[in-house]
Amino acid sequence: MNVKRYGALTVRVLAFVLVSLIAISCGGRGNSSRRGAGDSVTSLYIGDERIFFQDYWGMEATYWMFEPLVRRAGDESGKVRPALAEKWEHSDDYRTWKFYLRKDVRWHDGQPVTANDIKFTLDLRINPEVNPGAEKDKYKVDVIDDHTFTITYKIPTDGLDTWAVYYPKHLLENLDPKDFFKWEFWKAPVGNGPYKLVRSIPKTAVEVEANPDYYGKVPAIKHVTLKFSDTPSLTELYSGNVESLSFVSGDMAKKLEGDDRYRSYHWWGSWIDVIYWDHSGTFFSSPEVRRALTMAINRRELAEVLDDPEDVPILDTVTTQRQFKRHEFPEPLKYDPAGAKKLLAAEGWNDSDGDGVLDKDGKAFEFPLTVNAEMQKSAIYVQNELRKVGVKADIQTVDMSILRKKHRSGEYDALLFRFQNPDWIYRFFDSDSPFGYKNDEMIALVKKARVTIDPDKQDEVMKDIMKVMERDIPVTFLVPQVQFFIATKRIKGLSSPDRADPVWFMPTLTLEDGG
Amino acid sequence: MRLSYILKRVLFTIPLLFAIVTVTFFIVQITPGDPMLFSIDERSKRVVDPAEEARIRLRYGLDKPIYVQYWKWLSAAFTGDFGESFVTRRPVISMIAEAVPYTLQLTVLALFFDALFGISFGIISAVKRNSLTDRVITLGSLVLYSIPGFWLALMLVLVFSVSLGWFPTSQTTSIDHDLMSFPQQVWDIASHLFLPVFVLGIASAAGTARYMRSRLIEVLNEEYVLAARARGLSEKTVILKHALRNALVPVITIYGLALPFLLGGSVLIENVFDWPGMGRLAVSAITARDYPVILATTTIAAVLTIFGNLLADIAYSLVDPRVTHGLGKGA
Repeated sequence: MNVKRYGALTVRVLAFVLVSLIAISCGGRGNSSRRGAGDSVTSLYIGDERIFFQDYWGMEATYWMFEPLVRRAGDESGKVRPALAEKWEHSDDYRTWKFYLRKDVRWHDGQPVTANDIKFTLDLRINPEVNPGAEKDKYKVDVIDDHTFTITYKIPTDGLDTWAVYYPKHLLENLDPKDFFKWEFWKAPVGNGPYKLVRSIPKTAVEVEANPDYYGKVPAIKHVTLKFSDTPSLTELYSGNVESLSFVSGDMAKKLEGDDRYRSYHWWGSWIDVIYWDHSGTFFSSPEVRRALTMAINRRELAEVLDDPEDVPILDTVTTQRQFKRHEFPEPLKYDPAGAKKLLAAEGWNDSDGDGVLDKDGKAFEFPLTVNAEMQKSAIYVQNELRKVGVKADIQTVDMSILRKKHRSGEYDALLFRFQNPDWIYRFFDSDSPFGYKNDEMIALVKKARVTIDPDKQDEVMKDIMKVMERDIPVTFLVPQVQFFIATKRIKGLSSPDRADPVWFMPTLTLEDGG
Repeated sequence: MRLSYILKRVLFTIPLLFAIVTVTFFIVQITPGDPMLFSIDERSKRVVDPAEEARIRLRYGLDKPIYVQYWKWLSAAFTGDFGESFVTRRPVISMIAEAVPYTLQLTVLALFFDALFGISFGIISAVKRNSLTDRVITLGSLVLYSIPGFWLALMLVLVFSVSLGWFPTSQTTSIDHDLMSFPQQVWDIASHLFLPVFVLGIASAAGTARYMRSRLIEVLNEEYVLAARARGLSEKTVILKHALRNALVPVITIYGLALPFLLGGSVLIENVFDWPGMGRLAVSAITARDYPVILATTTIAAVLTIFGNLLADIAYSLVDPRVTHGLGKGA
């Protein structure tokens, strides 16, 4: 029968196409010959081929390719150590900084790194075409000779910038700053750091190799490939395509517990989840109320709920970075719901109508707690804890853009967001605090902190700020944000919490079987 | 008559397009929060201070009244200039130009897959109506049509990529693609395309098969098919030359409407497979609140939908004169 023949033929053709495709795919699989072997590593990286690009905010891999002037020691000392600059000095008022560059640093194309490169980059950084938000006259750079220059700031400034990196003037000076973000240079950068670019595969990966002319210790891992992704993917890890993942979630890290092939690492930096209270409103104007609400929340348990590690520190005050590392901060308020109730009662908040919610002058202690979806888990936990002491928080989930706007403007009763320790004191504890916090002593201390550059003196100012914060409880600190990383056990040299990020620390890592 | 119908449809498209881009612009504008500042805040993980905010507003013309901003955007968009991404600071149009070829690779092949398998199985199913083959195809297409694409994609990755290692898990090529010989490069591209194309194509192929089956059964019952059989034509000729030709007419509409899919891509599948096409670009833009990119991708999707409809209507009017006659009578 014709129809039968037609049907059978179609099925055969379709089967052929299918099998051919499978055969083609299996036969043509082009795995790297170097990947996961010897002295090379492939990592999954959230980004694209512009990862070495730094406009005014850098990314971890930027520092593979480019060197900053100075680096901060990762240990508890928090000391600044030389990088491009071998030494430096500053004026008494911390406005003028003089840097002496190393003479043995070369760009990957062999040209020497000079003070002219630094000036070129610093001038670019305050060019409105490149950075529309920058102050054009924030500083002035003067080149004294090829390896010496000064930066003069408008106001006293910590000139030891561990973050900014610098670009080769000889390759970029003739390009139009208007096209800064379109420069082809970002796809094939010529840097001066421990790794140099081998090739960039658009939308796929970049491959770098150790720079044999690096002035410092040449990386032991000679080849690194960064495979791009929008999200950390366990399938990439399981299938052996990559050997490390960055910024995975706590539950993803937990999934790998007991799997001998991998190690998970964690790190907490300067970001802390915080509840901002409206100081000008009815409920939170009293520091004792804010203290009570802080005492009502079991923050250690919250950390467990969030899959955070047991050793995550709980604190109630801001710190300098090295104080944070050394745990030099006051003991946080203890979880004490009974004590919290007493404090609230002393402030006039009682459950006079027996409905389970405290009230005062006929007004129930009920307020909206603004949060975004990302932090909803914390918000629900806080809501339950506050309910136990008779305080009703109604969770209002909003989009991040709205949360940001409210956070900036102070349009909320209570808002759960993050706080950058200690930098955000300048924005939130100063005289124009968006949430209405006003304490002249704190304002004076914040002003002093702005112009205190010496690290020891910074610690002293911060100790005074801690005392005021202990009294005022301007915000309720919940738990520091924890980042998780995963690497195969072959990768050595990582540890929690100080050396957790495989991408950040790649130039100093080693491999079990070589490299 | 046909020309006037086409002209009317084209003319009707202009105000529709204008309305859509206007609505899109104002919807984005009324979104709470300040997109530009949000983008900088998020990217730099800080809070932009008021002086910096003022400089940024001035630089981007955000200090101007909304109607001025609208006119500026509209006149620029008309020339294909959708502004600069808040995140990458690159021209939006160049980001779209980079994404489109990747999406086209996927979607054209998925449509081809859809047409090949959907129409073929639809024909087999109709011709072998109520047989075991028909039942198997019907059940299979219903199951495949019902399975969520992203779930199927994840399961296929788990089985064929992670467990069996037959296909790559993601991206468009292997890392060592440029080090391969030409035949290896071809295989490499094919292997990366296979799973996303399969997932994208299979659900629509299942739908097409169901549609094709019912249309063909309908046509096979028409009198002219009976007449053809009575004239002693072979079953193959009856089906392929007479029945199929008529049954395929409504399929034009389906493929006309596929135009937005062709360039819009598949948001979920592109994200599962880390495929750098339009769908992933749109999702990344939404996640980062990159409003110039959101505006551009939304506008392009809307324009393509309109043109897809227009093309389908025009094609339909060309193959089926009743459409234009009906319009003429009603008008």
